[in-house]
Parts: sequence; C-alpha cells; structure tokens
Amino acid sequence: MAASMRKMFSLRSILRNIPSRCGCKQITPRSSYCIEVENKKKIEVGSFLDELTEELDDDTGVENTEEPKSFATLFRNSAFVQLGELKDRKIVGRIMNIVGEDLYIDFGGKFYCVCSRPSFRAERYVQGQRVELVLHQFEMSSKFLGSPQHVTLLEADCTLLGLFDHEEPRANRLKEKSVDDETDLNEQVDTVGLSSKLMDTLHDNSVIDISKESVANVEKIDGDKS
Amino acid sequence: MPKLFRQVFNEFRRFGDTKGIHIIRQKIPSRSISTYGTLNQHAENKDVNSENSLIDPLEHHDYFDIRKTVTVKNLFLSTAHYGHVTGCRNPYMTPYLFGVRSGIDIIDLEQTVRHFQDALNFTAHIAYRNGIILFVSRNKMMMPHIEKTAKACGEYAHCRYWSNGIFTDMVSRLGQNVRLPDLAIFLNTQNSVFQTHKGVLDCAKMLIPTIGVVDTNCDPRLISYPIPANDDSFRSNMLYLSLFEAAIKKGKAKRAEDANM
Repeated sequence: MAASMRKMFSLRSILRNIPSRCGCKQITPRSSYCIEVENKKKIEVGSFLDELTEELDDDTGVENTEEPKSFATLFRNSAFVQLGELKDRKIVGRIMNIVGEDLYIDFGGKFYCVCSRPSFRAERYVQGQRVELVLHQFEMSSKFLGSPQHVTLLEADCTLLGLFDHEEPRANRLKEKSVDDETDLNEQVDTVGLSSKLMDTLHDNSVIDISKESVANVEKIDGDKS
Repeated sequence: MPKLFRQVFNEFRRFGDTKGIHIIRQKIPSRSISTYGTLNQHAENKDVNSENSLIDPLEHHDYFDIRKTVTVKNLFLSTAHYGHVTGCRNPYMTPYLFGVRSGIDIIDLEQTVRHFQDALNFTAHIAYRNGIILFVSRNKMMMPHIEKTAKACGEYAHCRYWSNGIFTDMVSRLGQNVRLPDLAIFLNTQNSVFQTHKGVLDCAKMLIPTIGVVDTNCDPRLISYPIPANDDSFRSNMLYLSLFEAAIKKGKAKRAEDANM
C-alpha cells in the first residue's frame, strides 16, 4: 500500500509543480530571500532550522535570566506559525542522510522529506548541505476506505528546488566543525550541561549546523554584494 | 540483635528492592513502612541536603534534582510539540492537545513537561533501587542511538522485532526463568505497522510499569506514565534519550552516595 501511495504522491507532486516551477522566479526573485536571510526575517523563506540553531546557541552561551516563556508564546512566535499556510511555501532544509540516490532532508518539521538527487550538479548534494524546497505536505497521509484513521507514510512531501548555499567552501566548513566539536567536549559538564550535551550529540550526528556557519554565509552574501 | 535488625531495616528503608519489601512488611508494624505503598509524586518539597539524613526518598518531591532538566523551551526547540495530522488522531490523546494548526495536531507542552518530570523522577527512583530498565522502540532510525544510550547507563534495550511471549512464556522461549525488567521505557509505542507495540500489552500483563512517549496517533491507555510528545523526529528522540540517561545516572549516583553515608 505504501508503495502505491508513494507513487500517487510523487505523481501528484510532479503534476502540481509543473506550473509553479515554471513561474517560480516571477513569484519570488532569487535576491529576495537572500535579503531575508540577511535581515533575519523568516516570513517568505521558512528557515525553521536557523531559528532552532540560534535558540540553541543562545542557551549554551550566557545564562538566561529571563522568565521562561509559556508554550503559547513560543509557539506563536515560531516559524511554523509565522509562515502562515504551509502549503506551497518555499523553505530551507538540510540534507541529513543520503541513501542511494535519495536525499533525506530535514526542514525543521516533524518528518524528513525524501527527494531524489537531481542530475544537475549532483556532486554538490552532500550530507550537511542546505537546500531549497517547496513544501507540499507537512505529513504524507491519506484516508483509505475501510480504515477509521488516516494512513501515514511518516514523511513530508516536498519538491527540491536546488542548493541554498551556492559558493560555500566545503573543506573550510568541515575544519571549523571539527574544532568546535573538540571545544564542546572540553566544556561538557556531566549533570548541569544537559543542553551542551544535547548539542554534542547533535553535532556528532550533524543534525543541526553550527550557527557560526550560517553567520559566515550571511557575511559571504554581504561581501559579494559590496 | 535489635540494632542489627534496625540496620537491615534501614537498608531496606533506603533501597528496599521490591521483593524484599514484601517479606519485611509481614514482620514490621505497618506504620513505619506505610509510605512505601504509594509513590507520591507531589509530596512536600524539602531540601535534599538537610541534616535529616534518613529522609525518605519517596516522600521527597524531587529527590534526584531531576525535574529542572526538562523545560518547555528545550522540548519546544527539539520539536516535541508536533503531532500527526488530525486524521491520524487517537481520541484518547485529545486531552493532551493544545490545538490544531493547518491540519496538524499540536501537543500542549505545558502538560508534557509535568508528565515528563514525573516519568523522569520515577525512572530515577527505579534506578536508585537497582531496578532493571529496558528501553523499547521499533523506530529503525533511532535503534543504534537507543542501544548506545542503554549501554552507556548500564541498562538494556530491545529495538528488534518483538516476538510474542518473550515476557509471558519465558520458560519455553528462553529455557528458564529470567528476571524481568522493573521498568520499560517505550520511546515509540507503535510497532512498524502502526499498531500498538506488543510489548506494551506484555508489560501490562506482567505488571511491569511502563513509560511511553505517546504521539497523537498512539493509545495511551495501557502506559503507566504516558508522555504526550512527538515520537518521530530524530531531534526530539535524542533529547528524550539524553534526559532518560541523565535520570538513570543520577539515580545510580545517588544510590552510591547514600550507601557510603
């Protein structure tokens, strides 16, 4: 059933995206979301990931003396809500895993989305690379006759648009990352530093990028412009 | 002789393993042991390091200082609030929901934090009493991490196919009677084909307390300590694992500390 459902979804997403892909550049010109990344606005391009990294980075840094925010406040201010309607939204994700020609991309939602590796500049699609996506469904699920509940594929449905960081030197990033890992290990405190420990485990599995990296990207964009 | 007896009794008072309690209970006036009957999670909040060294761990609200490790913010940042789409919802999960946003159920993390704290406290108490803790999940992505975590805190994991009767028909399965776990932690209460994990039912049959991370499509009814939260994301699962690991380690450290006292 899952196989047939996947086929159905992929066919549907292809058909649906023919018009949007053709007219994509007219709707949001390429420069517009670069500016949004610079200005840290997350309205048009949903970068759930950036938000998460920033927040986590804040946690590990200075001791936060503010009143803990309620869930309602956190949720209202999250990218998930600020994006509005999620369907057909352009978002940024990160390649978490590659199995054969399938890219498992984390965009900060509940599930990874699975896209096949494009033939154009295929060698650039490596683990940790940030990519642009169009989100169709947060979770691929559908009702089938005879079952009271939906059947879910535990996957998000997205279309891969292309790379997000175009000119990023890969080797430098890896070097920077390994240095950061070492410092984190030294700082790790067994009981209190739970969040730093979490960060370590996340670094090990390269789930969340280091926010320095994204800062570096912004600077790079700055430099290019000037 | 009474002195020796008192010493033995104090040992049980502190670490009383579940089997020993029952034997002692017949010999000791019920007044002195009555507090062991129930695990009161909301008892008075006292200072652990007060001069009263014979404070009953079960009477203390937060004996292991574990409740502060779980906050709304760190749950939120690890995307623990995402549920499934509304169509997948199990009606018994409705009380734990915050609402629905563009067709997706959102779990109320304020409730989750309370449930999580109770579950962690319970885990630490089991570890403190030398209980065996078993991590169970059928999430293939998380399997290596769960096994690694269980190994790191000296406990056990079962992330493979759950064959019927592994708890209930042990003699024919394993050839002899084996000690069952004292606590099963389900990081995912569904099996891979979207039914309730058979282990949940087996644990209920064998009176093994269970902690379960229940998503909006799960059935929380047979879980002793349900934690309503996202059980699919890698990021949130890693957080749960680190929290449980910390709880178990704290329980064991406290046991070693109190034994030396």
